[in-house]
Amino acid sequence: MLEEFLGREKVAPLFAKGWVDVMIDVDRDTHGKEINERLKGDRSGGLPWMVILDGHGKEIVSSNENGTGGNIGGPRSAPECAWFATMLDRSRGDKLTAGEVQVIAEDLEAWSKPKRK
Amino acid sequence: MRTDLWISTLSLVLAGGLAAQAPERPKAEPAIDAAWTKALAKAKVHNQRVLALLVDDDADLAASLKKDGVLSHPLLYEFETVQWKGKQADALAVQWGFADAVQRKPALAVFDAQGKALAKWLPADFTADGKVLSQPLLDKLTPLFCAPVDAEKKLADGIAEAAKSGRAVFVRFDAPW
Repeated sequence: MLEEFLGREKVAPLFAKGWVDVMIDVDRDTHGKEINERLKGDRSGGLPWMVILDGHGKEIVSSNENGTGGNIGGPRSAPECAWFATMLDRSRGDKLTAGEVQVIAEDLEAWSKPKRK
Repeated sequence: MRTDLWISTLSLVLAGGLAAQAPERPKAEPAIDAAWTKALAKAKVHNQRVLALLVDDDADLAASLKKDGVLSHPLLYEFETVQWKGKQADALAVQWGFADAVQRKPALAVFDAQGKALAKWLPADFTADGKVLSQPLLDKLTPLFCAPVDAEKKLADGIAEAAKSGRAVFVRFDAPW
């Protein structure tokens, strides 16, 4: 689901500008499960789980809200979408402006809203 | 009327008539291209093959395979399955040099994530009496599965690319289910 969003016309070029996308399948990729356990540690949450690393492999932010909260998974609710935008904002470095992250956030809101119950 | 003029007039009429009767070559529509591009992109990210199902308008092979006890799991894990019906299926069959599938459906085609055809099967290859032969089809599909990817290498490559380009690494953990 998130993948579909990241591939949207407005989002894909901005996302590629700021982040290297690495998708790890915990069932099919060799060592996928171990890496998930290693990077997630004791934090809560199933799949999808996300973490953003810097160029040294150090964690910047994860999909656990405020660091240790619940995993937003594939963001759908307004708070989940807001945390997703925070994740991008905290890790955008100098590759994207705050305005560009806002464009992604607004598109996520537009994409997620009809899917909410 | 002069005989030579009559013959050339007749030739033109016949040629025109034949041209009008020739079957129109189906053209791929933008919607088909978009679905195809999406399937390839998804297969690339997930290290899967694309399984194209070409069926008649009133058929739903995708739904049958999803419920098939032998095939559903391997298809979910190893293939991005896309179904095309009727004229759209015909257009793709012609585009893929698989013209036999225009008359003989259901037909299957397997592609790698770059769009290279790995296998094409007509009904006689995987059905009997209108029913899918699950195990024989799985036996045909299995050698086409992608080799597993080492996630440690994938992650290390992602981090190296991030370091080089000044970007961050967005790591997404997921599973086919």
